[in-house]
Amino acid sequence: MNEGSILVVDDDHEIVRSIAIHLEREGYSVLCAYNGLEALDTVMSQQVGLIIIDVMMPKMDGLSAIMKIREKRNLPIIVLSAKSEDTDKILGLSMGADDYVTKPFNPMELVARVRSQLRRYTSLGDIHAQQGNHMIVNGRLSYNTEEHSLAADGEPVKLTATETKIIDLLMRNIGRIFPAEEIYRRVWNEPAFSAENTVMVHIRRIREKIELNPKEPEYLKVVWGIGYKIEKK
Amino acid sequence: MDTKLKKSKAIVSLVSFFLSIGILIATAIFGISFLVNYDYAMQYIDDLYQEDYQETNAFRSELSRTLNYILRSMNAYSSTSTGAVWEGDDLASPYEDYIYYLSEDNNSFGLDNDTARNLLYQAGTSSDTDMYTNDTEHRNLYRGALPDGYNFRLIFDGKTVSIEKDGKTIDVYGDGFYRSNAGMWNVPGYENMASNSAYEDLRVCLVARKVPVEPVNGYSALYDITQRGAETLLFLRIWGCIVILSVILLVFAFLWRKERRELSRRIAARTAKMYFEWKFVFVILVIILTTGFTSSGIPSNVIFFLLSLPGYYVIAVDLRYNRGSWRHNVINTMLHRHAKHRSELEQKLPLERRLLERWDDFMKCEAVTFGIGLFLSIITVGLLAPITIALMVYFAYRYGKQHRQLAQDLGRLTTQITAVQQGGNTAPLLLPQDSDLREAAHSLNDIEQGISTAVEERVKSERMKVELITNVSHDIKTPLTSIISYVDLLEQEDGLPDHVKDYIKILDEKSLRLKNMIQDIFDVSKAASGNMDLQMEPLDLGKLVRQTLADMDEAIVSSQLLFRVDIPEQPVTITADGRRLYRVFQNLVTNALRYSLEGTRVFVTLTEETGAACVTLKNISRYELDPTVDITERFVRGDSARSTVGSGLGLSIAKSFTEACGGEFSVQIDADLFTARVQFPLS
Repeated sequence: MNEGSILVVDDDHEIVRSIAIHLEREGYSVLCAYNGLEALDTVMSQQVGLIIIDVMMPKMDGLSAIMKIREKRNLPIIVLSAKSEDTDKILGLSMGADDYVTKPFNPMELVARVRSQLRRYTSLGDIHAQQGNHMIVNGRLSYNTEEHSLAADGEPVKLTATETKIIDLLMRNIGRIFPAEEIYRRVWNEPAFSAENTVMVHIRRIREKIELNPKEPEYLKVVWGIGYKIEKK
Repeated sequence: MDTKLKKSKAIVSLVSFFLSIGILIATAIFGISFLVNYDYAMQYIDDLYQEDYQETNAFRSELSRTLNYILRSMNAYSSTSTGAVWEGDDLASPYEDYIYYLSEDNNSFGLDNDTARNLLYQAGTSSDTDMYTNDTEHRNLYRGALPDGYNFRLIFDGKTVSIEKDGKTIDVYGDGFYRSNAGMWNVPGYENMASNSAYEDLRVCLVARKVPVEPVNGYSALYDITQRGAETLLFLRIWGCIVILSVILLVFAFLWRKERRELSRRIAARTAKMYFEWKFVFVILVIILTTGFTSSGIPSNVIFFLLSLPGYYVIAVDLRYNRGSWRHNVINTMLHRHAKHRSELEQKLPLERRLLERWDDFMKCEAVTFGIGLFLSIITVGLLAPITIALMVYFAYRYGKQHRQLAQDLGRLTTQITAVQQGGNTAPLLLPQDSDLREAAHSLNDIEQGISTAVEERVKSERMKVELITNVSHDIKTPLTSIISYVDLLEQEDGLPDHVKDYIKILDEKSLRLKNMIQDIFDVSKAASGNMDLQMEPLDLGKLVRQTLADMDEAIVSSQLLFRVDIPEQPVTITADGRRLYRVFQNLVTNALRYSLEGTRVFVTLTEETGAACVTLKNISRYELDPTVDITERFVRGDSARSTVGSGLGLSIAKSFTEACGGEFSVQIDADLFTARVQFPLS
């Protein structure tokens, strides 16, 4: 691809190889490195479009490498880590990573995230420029309030009428928590009856269309015991 | 040998010290008294060197005294009665002594006692000049030659005195003025000491022997004067020798002072054990010994003084080496012994009895003091009443002091107990040695120590466990990542035989299950150790359960189970971490789905009790449950075969998450009925 190769960094050679195979099957060219220093060298010497990097590595760990790379290059970075704590994720993201994937991961999910990051870095800027007034942009998602159309990573998402109404409500109020009853009332325009189940069914379906990993949603979230919201990114 | 020598040296030193000091002090006293009576003393010394006793001051004063006595006696006679016989009872007392002076009946005192007749006298009036006499030959002594052996005559003519010695007249009056300290004749007739007009008609003649002879049976003052000089001289010489000896002894005492000091110290060590009362009595005895016999005359005084010296020495030694020895007295010892005995006894007695006995003792003390005090006060007409009251107040004060101390200690102890109960890191409670609650405080400190040690150990071991599990799970995750990745690659391979595809599917399932298990282990250990980050917020428990059920709707619908849900419409607000609580109910529902007997119903109910919201989930178990096993323990499952899916941590996670969020989790097994209960306080 013209935007450059994908650099995969991990001290475990087999993991690097398997990721490389998965990515190459999707048509990406892949570069490999096995520690932070090698990663730095590769970034400096080669045309790199995206980095997938492990945290715990010899010589130079992933977070230090990210900081160094961020000083020189502006490119998407996905962190791979065995650490699954929230604090670890927050630390990784604050160091300059764009995404955080915990081991063991689903290879297809990783590929999807790579695609998503690349799209956003290349095409998202255009959307901002084109239809700034009618566009609500939140991370990977962009919603056109006039056309009532949702796009994830710039790709249009096909939604049913009900789903569009739910998205319309949530996207216009990013971060606000809506109880199921309220969503039901405003979308269906009738008194809530068994709202939770009905709304949940739709939420699940929307998730499958917009989330990279519907089981661990990043955008359309349940606030347990309260309601539903779209997370502000 | 050496020590023996030392000891004898010490004793010699001590004895010589006593002797020398005693003698020197006695000499010093003599010296001082000598200086005080300097004039008389000088007269006395003059007398020692007089060959002729009639030239001594003692002779002069003796004759003067005799003359005066005779004159006074005769004056007394004449003033009471004109006759020769007088009635003793009628006589005025001041003259009593002088009357006896001339009485023949009296043998112990008076001139008639002088059987050697060293001094002859004739006394009377101008008309009868020898009314009284001790001259048996009845010569006229006033005039003419003196009898054989006599060479001295003194005549009082009613106004003045004239003296004739060896036929020569002696000048009695000198310049006519009497000076008491000049060794003059103390007789009437001086210008400044004129004769009593009452004596005008009286005549006295005194004749003294040239060399006094020893009286056969009686006492002669003149003979005594001749003898006294020699005796005194001898005494003074001996005294001088003794003084020199004492100085030598003092030198010895000085040379061996070290040994003596050693001995003194030993004596002091002995006396230190004596009670102060005995010492006091001893001191009084010594003082009595010194001063009590003063009347017995100078020599005996000196002896008593010397005898009392060791006493003073012992007192001095005691004062020097036993400072504050007054504290070692009988009363103090008794009190102290009592107190010691008490405290020993009290240490053994339980606190309650000890306190009660102390109260009893206090009351006894007050009662006895009051009784005795009242008695003594009545006897002494109230003189001892203030002392009694003071004593009673003192006892009350002591008791009060003890009590206050106890109250303070008790306060500190209870504060400490509260602190320990709250688990604060408190410093150990230190009570004074004699405190009643010392033992209790000590026990409390031990308990606290034990608790804090146990807590520390537990925290440490929990942290180590979490660390271990974290590390292990990280280490497992890396190879698992490869497994999952390559299984995924395998799945994408085309043209594989069906049975291989089946194998791959199994690999896929099991690797995912392993992934979940690792995450579960990690979660449960973290929650159990209390290291979990929680985001507590108010939420609607009913809604949360409904959301969970909706979220798992697909699995529920596809199962052969019927869910009977009874959740009130109105919000049931509690405070918890929603994500964790979702895991709790997710696990419970998964558990029900997994282990329920097919075709049975699962009852999910939310009830509001007083101040608490309670979610119960009931289902009929497919397997027979062992009620003796705690199913919420980690890795414990209803089926011991472990053949089915799941980590075996579902209920364990549910329990630890619930508790981490501040709720209560319990499981009840009644035959095949399995009931899980999650309870949270309402907020």
